[in-house]
Amino acid sequence: MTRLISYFALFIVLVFAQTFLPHIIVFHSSITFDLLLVFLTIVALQISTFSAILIGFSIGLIQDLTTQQNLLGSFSFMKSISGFTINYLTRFDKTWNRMIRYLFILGCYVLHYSIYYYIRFSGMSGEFMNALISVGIHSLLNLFLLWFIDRFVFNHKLI
Amino acid sequence: MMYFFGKIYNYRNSIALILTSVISLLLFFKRESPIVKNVRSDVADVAYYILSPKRAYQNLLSIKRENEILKESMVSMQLMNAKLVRYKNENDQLKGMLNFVEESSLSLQPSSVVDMDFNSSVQTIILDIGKNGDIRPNLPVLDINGLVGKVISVGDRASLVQLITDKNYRVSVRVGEKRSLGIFSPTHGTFGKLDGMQKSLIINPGDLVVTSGISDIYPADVPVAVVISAHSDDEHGFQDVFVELLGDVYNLNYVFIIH
Repeated sequence: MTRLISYFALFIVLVFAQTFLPHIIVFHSSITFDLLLVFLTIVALQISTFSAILIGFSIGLIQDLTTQQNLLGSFSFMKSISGFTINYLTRFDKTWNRMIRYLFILGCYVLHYSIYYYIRFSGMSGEFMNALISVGIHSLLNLFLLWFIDRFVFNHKLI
Repeated sequence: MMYFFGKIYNYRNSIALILTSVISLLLFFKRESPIVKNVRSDVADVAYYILSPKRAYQNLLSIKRENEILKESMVSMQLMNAKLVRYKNENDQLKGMLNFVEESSLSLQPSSVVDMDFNSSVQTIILDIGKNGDIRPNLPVLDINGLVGKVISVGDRASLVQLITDKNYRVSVRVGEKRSLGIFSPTHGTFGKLDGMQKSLIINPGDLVVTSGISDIYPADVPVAVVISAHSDDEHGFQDVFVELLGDVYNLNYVFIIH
């Protein structure tokens, strides 16, 4: 219960932090850490699949409401799928080594950002390469943040 | 009920994923922003390609069904066309008969041929008129071209006609510029010969053969046949005159009975 409350409090803080986080512009795309995605990854690796899906959906819905109301539903869709796919890793935490597990999470992030940038660049011609580079940078940036947290907060016990 | 909830519990992860995805997509596609419209059109394109085999199959089925309907329709149209052609021919025939009746000075009773018999000992046709039409035996019968026979038997509603092609049929005729008398008798098919034609008579191919009028049965000048050849030799006392019948005996539909 204490952990649940602490996670909830952390989530509220992260929502505010996300809005004030600095952005970098790369190939016409504003790129920053997705704190909520990293938070979802940490939570999804510690709870059941069912809860991971619902929490992913809730995080996505709140992110939609706070950042892009004209695309309401897009983040909730991406985060639901991300919650499910990241949680899938818990089935193989004893059989896969750390490198494979990180690669799997990278794959989940790539999936997440592929949907995100597909929606973002939808209807624009000649943006395929930009979208591809943005997906790669965004995914690697968040994976680095996750590694950092895993290394210094969880002492390599998260992944 | 417990089994049902048990199943739902077992598949809760899949159900949760599907439900959240559906809700998210519903929320997304309800928006009317240009991006959503673009995504919507992309989804429609993908759905178009995914569903193309189904569409092709449906088209194939509909084409097959259409083909069957067209075939049915074609057969029906062909039947109708055949019927219309028959009506046209009948109409032409009736128009010809009408003109013939108007031009003829004879009292003519039209009648329809309901049966023909060319195989028995007497070649006959049956008409759809009898005593009810004031028909009597020995009345001559003709079509628009010429004489075709005479009534030999009369029922209440039908009459039997002996055809001119019957081997026992004889009719007194005139032929040539001098309207010489002779007796027509059939030979084979629509051909016949004239008996009793003297060698001194000038008869040419193409001369019209008409009834003589000296008989009690046939009025004078009813066309019977046309001469196709006339020649004489020393062995016979008379000319050999061969004629072809004018009446279309083997294709009779309507005839006239002369009162």
